[in-house]
Amino acid sequence: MTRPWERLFGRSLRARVAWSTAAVTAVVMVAMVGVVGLIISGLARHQIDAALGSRVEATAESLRVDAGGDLALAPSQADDVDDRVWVFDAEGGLVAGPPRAGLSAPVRSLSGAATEKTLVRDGRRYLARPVHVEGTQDTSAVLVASESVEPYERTRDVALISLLALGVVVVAGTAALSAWTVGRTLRPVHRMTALAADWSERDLETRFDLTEGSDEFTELGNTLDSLLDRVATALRDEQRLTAELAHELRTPLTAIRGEAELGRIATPTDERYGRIIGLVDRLSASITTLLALARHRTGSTLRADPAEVMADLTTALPPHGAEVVVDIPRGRYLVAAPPELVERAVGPVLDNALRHASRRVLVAAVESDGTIAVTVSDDGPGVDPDHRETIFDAGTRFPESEDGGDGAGLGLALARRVAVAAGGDVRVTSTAAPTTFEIRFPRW
Amino acid sequence: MARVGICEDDADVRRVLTEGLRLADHDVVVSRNGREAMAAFAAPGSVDVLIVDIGLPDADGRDLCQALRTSGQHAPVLFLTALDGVHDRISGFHAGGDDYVAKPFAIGEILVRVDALLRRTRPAPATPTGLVLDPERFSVRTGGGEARLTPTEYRILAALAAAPGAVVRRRAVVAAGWPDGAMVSENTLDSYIRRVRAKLETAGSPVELVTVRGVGFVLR
Repeated sequence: MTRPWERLFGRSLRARVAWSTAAVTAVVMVAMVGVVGLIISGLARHQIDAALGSRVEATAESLRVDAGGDLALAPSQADDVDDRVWVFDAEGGLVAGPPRAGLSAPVRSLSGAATEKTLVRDGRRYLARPVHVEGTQDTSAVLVASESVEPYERTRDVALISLLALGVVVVAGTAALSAWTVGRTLRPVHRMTALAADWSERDLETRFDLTEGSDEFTELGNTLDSLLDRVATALRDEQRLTAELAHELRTPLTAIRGEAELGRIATPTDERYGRIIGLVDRLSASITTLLALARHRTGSTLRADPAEVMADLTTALPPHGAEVVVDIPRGRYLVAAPPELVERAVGPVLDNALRHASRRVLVAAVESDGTIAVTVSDDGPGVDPDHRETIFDAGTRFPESEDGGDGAGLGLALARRVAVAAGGDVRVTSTAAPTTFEIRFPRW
Repeated sequence: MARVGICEDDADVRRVLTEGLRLADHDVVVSRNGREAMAAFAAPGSVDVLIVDIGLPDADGRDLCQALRTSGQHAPVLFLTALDGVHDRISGFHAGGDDYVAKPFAIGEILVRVDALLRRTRPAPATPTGLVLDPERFSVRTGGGEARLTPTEYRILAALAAAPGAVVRRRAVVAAGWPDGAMVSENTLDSYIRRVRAKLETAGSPVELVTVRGVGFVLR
């Protein structure tokens, strides 16, 4: 089950698309905010300069030279003149200026400006412009005006902050929208891949059969169909091959073994027959192991639930006297071996237990050190401690067993070989009351 | 002592089996393939126990077993096979088999199992339906005609014909018709049933395939 944060931060296509969309949008938004900021600043500067310029212009127009040859503002217009403009004569002496404001350092520094100059200092913008006084030959003056830039900066900041907030909303919105769109678009892909995986494991006949439409999903469906076809063909070929191999190899072995058995009945003193039977059994065990391994290599699942394997095994049991109790919860234990191998490792041990049990066979599972052990216990007469290991040799039979040892004496040898091939083992963990065999597999 | 029918295509295995069973004082009737087995063992009561190889040259031993059951042969069947996977064993039981021995077997084991099968009491077989199944050609014959079936249709019909008059549950029909573990939807099963019913009618069957809603199907 995917958790929300895993979906958000995982490496899924959806998360990747959402994150890259967010990153691209964020870069665009930052660039946009920067450009807008520059434009606003430029506009503000232009506006201030225009305001200062017109102020200076108006003052310049009212400049006169009085009777004493001194520079003065035309009296008739003095009231209308903007009194926030400083007027300096050519020598730098202050002629007029804002009534309450003293001469600040920036104003003083600009009083002798020879060309038009601007200056920003302490939140104010200053404009100094030398002018020629109308109606005179060579009288000139320097006019200085100033304006606070604070209102403009505040407007700019508000605009930029709003833009940034909008940018965050846009980035989050775009990312969410792209995640949603991708998720929605990919949903059929998820469904199709899950179905295909399920079919390839359990149902080799079903196909998508998307004949209508020519979009990407139809294409994907057709591709998956052809893959399923190939899987099905490969599995069927493999099953047919192993079935034929099994038949071709085991049928003559059956005849050889039968002939030897009949020979032994006719001439019980000749030990050769017993040796032939032993050799046939060894060969048979090898064939079984090889076939099981060949099958599992092409099989689709590599893990098995011992509970399910036991359910299959108990269904397939021939009539027997003892009761089989399986105490393995479904889904609790998973072993890293294909079900066929688990079956072939546990099956013979179960058969053996059933042959010797008087009333009950108990099958359970325990987990330890990264392995899972399926234990098969019976209430039969038990295993001679001296034979703890030899019972796993091919061809070992114990005539004292209840039905005269009808088996070929292969089962336990086979079980061990298969378990070892799957990375586990089979051992006797208790020789009597109850007799317990343990079939160990690596944990999934 | 009992009459044991053998159906095995390999001459050497057949000889070994025959000899072993005769040593145990059984009468042995031998057949080499599905056709011979149908001819020799279809009559009810012709044998006491049957040993059938699953890998016959002309038919699957499991299909043969179903055909014999349909014909009214209810002797216990012991399957021999070179395949010993769990699913192979389960499908043998679904096809009406009673026990299973994997090759190469010990003759002693065959004898013990045959004795065990002979000891088991079987329910009295029902009256046969008058249908004759051919495991080789997957067909059904009636007094009036013949219809060809697909392998799945054959197995479904055989499962019903082996228990005439009794309701066979849907799950049992699926188990007989499809490989063990196959996922079969209700609709699929119903459409197969409709096809089998139509083919029975075409062949002029004396019995009818009836759906028992929510339970299963019955031939009567």
